Amino acid sequence: MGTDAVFQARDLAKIYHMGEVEVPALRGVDLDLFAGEFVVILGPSGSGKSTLLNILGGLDAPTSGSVRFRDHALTNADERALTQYRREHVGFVFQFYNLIPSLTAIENVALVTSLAVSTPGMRPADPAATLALLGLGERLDSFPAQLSGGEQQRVAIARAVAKRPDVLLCDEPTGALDVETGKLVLEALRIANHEFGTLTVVITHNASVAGMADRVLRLRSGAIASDERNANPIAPGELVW
Amino acid sequence: MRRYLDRKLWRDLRKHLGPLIAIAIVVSCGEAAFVAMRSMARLLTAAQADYYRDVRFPDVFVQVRRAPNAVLPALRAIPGISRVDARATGEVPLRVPGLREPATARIVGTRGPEARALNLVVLRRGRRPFPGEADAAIISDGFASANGIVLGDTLGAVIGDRWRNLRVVGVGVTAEFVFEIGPGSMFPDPRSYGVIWLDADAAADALGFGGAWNDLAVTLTPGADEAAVIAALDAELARYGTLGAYGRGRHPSHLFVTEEIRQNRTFAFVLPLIFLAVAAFLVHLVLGRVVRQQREQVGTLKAFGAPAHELVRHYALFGLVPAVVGTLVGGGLGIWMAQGLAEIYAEFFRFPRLELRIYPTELVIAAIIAVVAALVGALDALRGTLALPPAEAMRPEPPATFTHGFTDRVVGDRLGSPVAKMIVRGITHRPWRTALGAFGIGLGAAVVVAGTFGFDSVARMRRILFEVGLRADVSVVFAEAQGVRVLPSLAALPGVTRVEPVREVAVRVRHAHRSRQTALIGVDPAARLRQVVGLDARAVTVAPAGVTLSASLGRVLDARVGDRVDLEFLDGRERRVALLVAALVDDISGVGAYVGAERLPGLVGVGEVITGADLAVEAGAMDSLYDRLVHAPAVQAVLVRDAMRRAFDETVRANFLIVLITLVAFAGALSAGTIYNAGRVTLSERTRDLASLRVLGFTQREVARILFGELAFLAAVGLPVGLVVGVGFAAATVASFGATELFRLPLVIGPRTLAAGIVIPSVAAAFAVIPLRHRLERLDLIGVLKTRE
Ligand SMILES: Nc1ncnc2c1ncn2[C@@H]1O[C@H](COP(=O)(O)OP(=O)(O)OP(=O)(O)O)[C@@H](O)[C@H]1O
Ligand SMILES: [Mg+2]
Repeated sequence: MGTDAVFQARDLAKIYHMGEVEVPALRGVDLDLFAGEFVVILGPSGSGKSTLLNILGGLDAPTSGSVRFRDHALTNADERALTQYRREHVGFVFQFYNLIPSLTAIENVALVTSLAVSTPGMRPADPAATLALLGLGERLDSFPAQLSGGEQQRVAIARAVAKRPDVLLCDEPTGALDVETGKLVLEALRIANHEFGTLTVVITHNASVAGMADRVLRLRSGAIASDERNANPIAPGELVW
Repeated sequence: MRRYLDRKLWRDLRKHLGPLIAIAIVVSCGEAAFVAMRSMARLLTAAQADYYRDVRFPDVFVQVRRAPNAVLPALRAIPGISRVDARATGEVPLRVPGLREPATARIVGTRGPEARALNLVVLRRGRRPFPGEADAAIISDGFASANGIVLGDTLGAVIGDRWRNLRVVGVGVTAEFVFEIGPGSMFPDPRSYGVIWLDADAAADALGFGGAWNDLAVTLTPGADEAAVIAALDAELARYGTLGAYGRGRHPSHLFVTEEIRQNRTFAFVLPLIFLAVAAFLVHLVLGRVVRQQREQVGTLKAFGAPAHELVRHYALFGLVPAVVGTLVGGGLGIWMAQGLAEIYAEFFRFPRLELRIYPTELVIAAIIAVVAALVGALDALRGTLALPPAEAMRPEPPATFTHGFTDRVVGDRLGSPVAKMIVRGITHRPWRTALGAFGIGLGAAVVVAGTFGFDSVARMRRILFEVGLRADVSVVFAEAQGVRVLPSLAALPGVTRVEPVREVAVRVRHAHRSRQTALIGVDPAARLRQVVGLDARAVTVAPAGVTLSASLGRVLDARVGDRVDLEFLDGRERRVALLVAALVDDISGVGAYVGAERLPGLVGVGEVITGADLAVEAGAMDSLYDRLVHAPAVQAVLVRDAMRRAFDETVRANFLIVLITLVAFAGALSAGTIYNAGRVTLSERTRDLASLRVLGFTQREVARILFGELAFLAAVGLPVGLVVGVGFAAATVASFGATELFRLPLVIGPRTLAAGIVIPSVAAAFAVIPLRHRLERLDLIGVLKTRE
C-alpha cells in the first residue's frame, strides 16, 4: 500500500438544482484513497455515493471543494482534460454494464485497449487474455445480447481493467445480478485488484460485500459517516449474503 | 384519455421540432412544385384559349407557292370547312436602324376586326393601316422591343422587286406568331426575325400576288373530320405547290406553347412525387423511432384500456402535422410561384391577357397526396408496436441483437478497429433503412443532374451549330431557286473570300401509309462552310446512293435501312421519286433527308437548284456586304453566324437561371432533410452507445466521427446512385424534348454537372448536420449510466 494518496478530496460539496429546490448531494467530504486499496462504499439510497464516484471519475464536477488525482487537480479541469483523465487513468464498471451491443465481447474490450495503445505511457493488457482471466475465454466472439447478465458484467470489468487503469470505479456492479453471479463478478474485481494492484472503489447496497474490502466507507446524507479498515479481508466466495 | 393523448402529442411534437420542420420543408417543396406547375399550366391553358378566341385562331393551315383567288370557292365547298381566309405572305431581308446585320421580316397581309377575318392582330400600341395605305406597317411586339423600334420609325426593305420604306404605325401580337423561326435558322431570334403586317391588299400587291395568294387559314365546323379536310385540301392544292395542309397539332406556335405547358405538367408529377416519397420515408423514420422509444408507454396505455384507434389517431396526427404545415406553406408558395411563373411565361409567349386565379382543386389534390404520403409513412411505422400484446409492449424493447451476419464475414476482419466495426454494423443492421436513407440523399444529386445537365447539352449544341455545323460567316437564302450563275456574282461581292451553294428543297417523304414533310438537302462532302453534324458533334457522312435519313425521321416513318421511300417534291409539279434508305444518322435536326449535292438537281428534275449560299467574308467588309445583300431582289434572308450565336446565348441564359436557382434549393432541401432526420434518428438510437464511449474516454471528436461516419456512408452510397438516377431523368427529358421536332437535344452530362450533383447535396447535408454536432456536445453522460437500454 502506497503512502501517497491517489485521490485527495477536500471539503467536497455538490448541490443539484431542481427548479427552485436545492438538493445537496454531498456536503463537505474529506477523503484520501491510496494505491492498491480495495474500497467498498456503503450507504442508503440518495446518500451521495454515485455523486462522489462520478466526481472522482471525472464525469461530474463538484459545486465546491477540491479533488486531486495524484498531482492533477480535477476541479476546474475542462471537458477535454477530464476526457483525457478518464481515458488514461480510470476504468468504470456500472450497474447496467454499458456494453456496445454491436460489438462482441473481445471487441468491446479492444475498443478501450485500442485507445490506450495510442496513448504514450500506457501498456494495455491483451483483450483475449483479460477475458480469459475472468473466465470468458470461450465467449470472446459473443455479442452482449448473447451473454448472461453476469457474463456481460465480467466483459465490462475486463473492458475496464484491460487498459491497466490506475483506478477502477464500480457503481453497484452486482446490483442487477443474483447472488452467485454477483460473487463471480466480485471475484473478478478482486482478481483485477490483486493482479494489477489497481485502486478499486466499489459502491454497493450489500453490506456483506464489506467483508472482502481493505477499507469500508459509509455515507449518510452526503457526508462520510464512518471510515473503517478491515484487517482480514475474506475471499468473495466466502461472503455470506 | 383523449385529453391525455392530446397533451402528449403536443409534448412529442415540441420534442421533435427539428425533424418535423425538416419534413415540413420537404413536403412544402413538393407541394409548391405541384401547385405551381399545375396551376401555371392551367393559367396558361386558359390564357391560350382566350387568346385563340380573341384572334380567331384557325384550325387548319396551308402554304402554297401561288394559287389564284378563283380556287377559293371550291375550297369553301369542302365538307367540314367553315371559313377560309387567303392572304399573301413572304419573307424579305430588312434594314433595321441600330442593327448592324440585316434582319428578316415576314410580310403578312392583315385586315381590321370589322372584316371578321381569321388571325386578327392584337394591337399593343398604335393603330392598324387604313385600307389601301401601302406604306403603313404593324410590327410584331417581340421584334419591336428587341430592336427598340418605336411608332413612327421607318424600316427599309426590298419587297417584290422594289425598295420600300415602311412607316411603323402599330405594334401588335397574334397567336400565329408566338414562336417564329426565320428561314435557314434553327431557333427563334426576335432581334433578327420579326413580322410586319401590311394592309391585305397592299401586301398582295407588294409581294406580286394580285388576285392570288400563298397562305390559307381555315376554320372547321364543329365535329368536322380534320384529317379528311386536310386530305381534301392537299388534293385541291397539289397543282399549286402546296407544302401540305396541317392542323394546330403541327402549327409551330401552337405546338411550342402547348409543349411548354405539357412539360410543366409532366414535371408537376415527377418532382412532387420524389419529394412526397422522401417525406413519407422521413415520417416513417422519425415516427418509427418515437414509437419504439415509447413502446412501454404504448403498452401501458393499452393495458389501461386505451383503444387501438385512439393510439393510431395519436401517432397518425404526429405524422400529419408536418404534412399539413408543409401543405399550407407549400400551397401558398405554389400559388405565388404559379402566378409569377405564369406572368413570366405569358410575357415570353406575348399573350395579350392573363387572368390570374387560384385553382382550389389543385390545392386539394396536393393536400390529399401529402396527407396520404404522411399516413403511409406513419401507419407503417406503427404497425409493429401496436400489434404487440400490452404485456409484451410494456417490457422495454429488447436490445438490438447483432450477430455475425453476411457483411461481417465479408468485411468484418478486414476492418481492424472496433470503431469501424461499429459503423459498419450500424449501417448493415437495418439495410432497408440505410438503402432508403442513402436514396433520399441521392435524390438531391438526381435533381441537380436532371435540372442542370441542360447546360452541358446546350454547350454541345452550340458547338454543333456554330463550330462544326455552320462555318459560314454569312448565309443567304434565295426567294426562288437559282442557277449556277448566281455563284460568281456572290463571289464578286465585297469581302467575300469563298462561296458554297446550298441546295434544299421541300419534299414529302412517304413510307407505306406514313408521311412527313421535310427538306431534302443536297450535301457536298467537299463543302467547308457547312456540314451535317451528329449529336456527338462529329460530321455525318451522307451515303453516295439512295437517301440518308435522320434516325428520328426513320422512326416517324417506320423506315429502316434498305426500305423504299417515296419523295414527293412540293413545288407544284407533283413529281415523285422512289429511293432506298441507305443510312440512318443521328443528326441534330432530327427530321432531315440527305442526298449527295450533285444528285439533287437530277432528282428534282431541273438543271440546278441553288436555294441559298454560304459565304466566308473578311471581317472588315461586313457592313458593305450587308448593304449589297439587302438590296438584292433575289435574296429572301441574310443570316449572320455571330448574330445567331449571340441570340442563342441570350435565350439560353434567360431560360436557365430561374430553373437553376429553384432546383438547387429543392435538391438541397431533399438531401439536407434526409440526412438531418437520418442523423437525428441514428443519434437517438446511438445516444447510449456514444455516451458510454465518452465515459470510457473517447473524445467528442472521436464520437462525432462514429455518427458522421454512418451519415457519410449514406451520402457516399446515395450520391453516386442519385447521379445515375439523375442521368435517367435527363435521358427521359431529352426523349420528351423531341416532340417539337425542330432539333434534337444531345444528352450530354459533363464533369461539372456531376460535380455539382455531388457538391450541392453534400454542402446542404454538411449544414444540416451542424445541429447534430451541437446535440452530440450535450450528451448526458451520467444519465445513461442510470438506466438500462
Ligand atoms: N441529476 C440530478 N438532479 C437532481 N438531483 C440529483 C441528480 N442526481 C442525484 N441527485 C440527488 O442527489 C442525491 C444523491 O444522489 P446519488 O445518485 O449520489 O445517490 P446514491 O447514493 O447513489 O443513491 P442510490 O443508492 O439510490 O444510487 C439524491 O438525493 C438525488 O436525488
Ligand atoms: Mg447511486
